[in-house]
Amino acid sequence: MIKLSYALVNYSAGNPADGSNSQGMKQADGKDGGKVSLSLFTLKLSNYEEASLIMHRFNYLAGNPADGSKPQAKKLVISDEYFQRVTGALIMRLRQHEEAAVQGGHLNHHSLRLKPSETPEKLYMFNQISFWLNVYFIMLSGVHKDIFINFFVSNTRCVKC
Amino acid sequence: MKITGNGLAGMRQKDLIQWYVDQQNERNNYSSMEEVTAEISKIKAIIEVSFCPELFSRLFLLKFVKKL
Repeated sequence: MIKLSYALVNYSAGNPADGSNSQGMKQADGKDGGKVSLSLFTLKLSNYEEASLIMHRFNYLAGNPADGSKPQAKKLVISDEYFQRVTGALIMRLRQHEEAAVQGGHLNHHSLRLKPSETPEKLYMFNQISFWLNVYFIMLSGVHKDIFINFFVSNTRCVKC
Repeated sequence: MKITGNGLAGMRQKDLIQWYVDQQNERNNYSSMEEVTAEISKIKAIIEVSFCPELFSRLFLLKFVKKL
């Protein structure tokens, strides 16, 4: 049995009563919201397929503390297809924005964050690698270090390249 | 134009989300406000994890240090 620790991003809507917003972010509809926090969990994995399933899903928790009570967790599942579609659209928009900024003299090519070779597929791989690096750092402090290192190494390969 | 260094080449997250929602709205992909709200949450999550890894790493480390 392999124990796997992982992190989930927890989004809590802002409380309109006090207007508090620890991250200072606003949603697109203009309302305050978007307090972001991370929660660490531990899963008991029976096989590698279960780990692979987790690896290919971005699961998030969303809270709704409108009544001031403890946020009730609501899980958002973002599928691979949805992630690729949204990321592709956002990259296209950001490139348009960058081109306009470069032509206007506000940015130079060295300050661009998106390289011309950046693709949704590469961003997807980056997220997967970051996820496993985070898990790796968590497990470095755990009692199952040796087991996890073997698990991490055996599952780290680029299947899309 | 202010360069904020947020990983979005100076573009505000709010504007990026607004653009995407407008695009979907023009295609009549939404049937209710609840769908819009749910999609905004997902887009925010994708932006912050994909395009703002610094924010994601900072939050992760903060939580990790608190656990120790």
